[in-house]
Amino acid sequence: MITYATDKNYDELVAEGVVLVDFFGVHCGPCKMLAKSLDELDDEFPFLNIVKVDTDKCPEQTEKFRINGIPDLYFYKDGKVLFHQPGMVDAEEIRSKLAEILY
Amino acid sequence: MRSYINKLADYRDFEFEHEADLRCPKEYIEKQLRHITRGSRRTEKAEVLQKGDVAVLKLESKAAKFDRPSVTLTVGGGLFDKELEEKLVGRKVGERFAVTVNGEEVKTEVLSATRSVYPEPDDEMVKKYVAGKDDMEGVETVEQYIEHIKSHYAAEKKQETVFGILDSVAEYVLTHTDWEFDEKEVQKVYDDMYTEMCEWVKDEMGTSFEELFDDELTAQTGAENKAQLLEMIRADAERAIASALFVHKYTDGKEPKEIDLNEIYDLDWSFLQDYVTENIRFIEE
Repeated sequence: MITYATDKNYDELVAEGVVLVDFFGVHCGPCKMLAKSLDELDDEFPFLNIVKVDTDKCPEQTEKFRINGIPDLYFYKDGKVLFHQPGMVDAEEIRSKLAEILY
Repeated sequence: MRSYINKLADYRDFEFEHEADLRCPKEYIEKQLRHITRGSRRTEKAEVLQKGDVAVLKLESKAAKFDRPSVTLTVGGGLFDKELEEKLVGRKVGERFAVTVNGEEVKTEVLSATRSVYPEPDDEMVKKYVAGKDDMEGVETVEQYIEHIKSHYAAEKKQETVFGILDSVAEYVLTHTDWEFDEKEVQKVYDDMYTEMCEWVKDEMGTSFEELFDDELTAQTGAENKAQLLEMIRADAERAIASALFVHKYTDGKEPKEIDLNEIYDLDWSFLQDYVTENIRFIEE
């Protein structure tokens, strides 16, 4: 399931289970390519929690995570960041990391 | 240039596949169509497992990976275990069975299963999806959208094929040619590459190369640490000089007096691209 975060509900959204967080920008080309991959992951693994953070709309979280470039991915498990993947990444790499974290 | 070629390998000696299928697979089209129908996706209970279903299983085994009171997976998704997932197709919810996975017996029970159901795409969905997408101008119907998917797939596959072979051909020449590198020339290109990399780290990651942590470095470059990255840059510098010598040898034969990064980035590889393209038969729709 894909959910759009706000500065206020971010902590709540990442608190439980495996969560993939995507810091993105609406005018960022690589972010659009990644968005397509994340949509496909969501189609295939609907039990996954994917949280999208628009860096323009969530300045507090963007500042907190020192996001200097987008896209920027964070992999959470029960509220803890297990892996950080800055920059563009292909779907296969995300799948492989998710397999590691999920199982 | 002070570096030079002792004996140049012939790129035409490199063997490659002379046929490439650019026809779009049905599964790819279905996957792409989901981009326009996913907004109306619904979930329903599944009784008999199919590829793509989400199943909740109870597993019992001596192997820790397969000994779980509850595990959720997508059948055929490949994230949990491909072998087990293949053996789930056709099983019913509530069914208990034993399978052998990686040589271990795994007692399996299908606790529940759900299936994502996508509506048939229609022209209205297409119009809504393509709105504002410059590369899809003129696409208004499902039929046009499918044509767009096919042509986009063919173009990407063609480029991927040609550039994949191009890389291999270049690699063949670079590893089979006898080069003589001038140390000062390599150092100059290395210094330019190092400076460029430091600027990139500063712009993209907001820190200096010296302050960069190894895990951030690995995520971005694949290098395990800074020393390894510097070795990679050194190899890249030699490779860049070799590429310049190779390309100039086959094009104008005029080497620049001094080599710099702009020169390297502007190398005209079209002779090799043309050679590869002309020697592949592309199978199209």
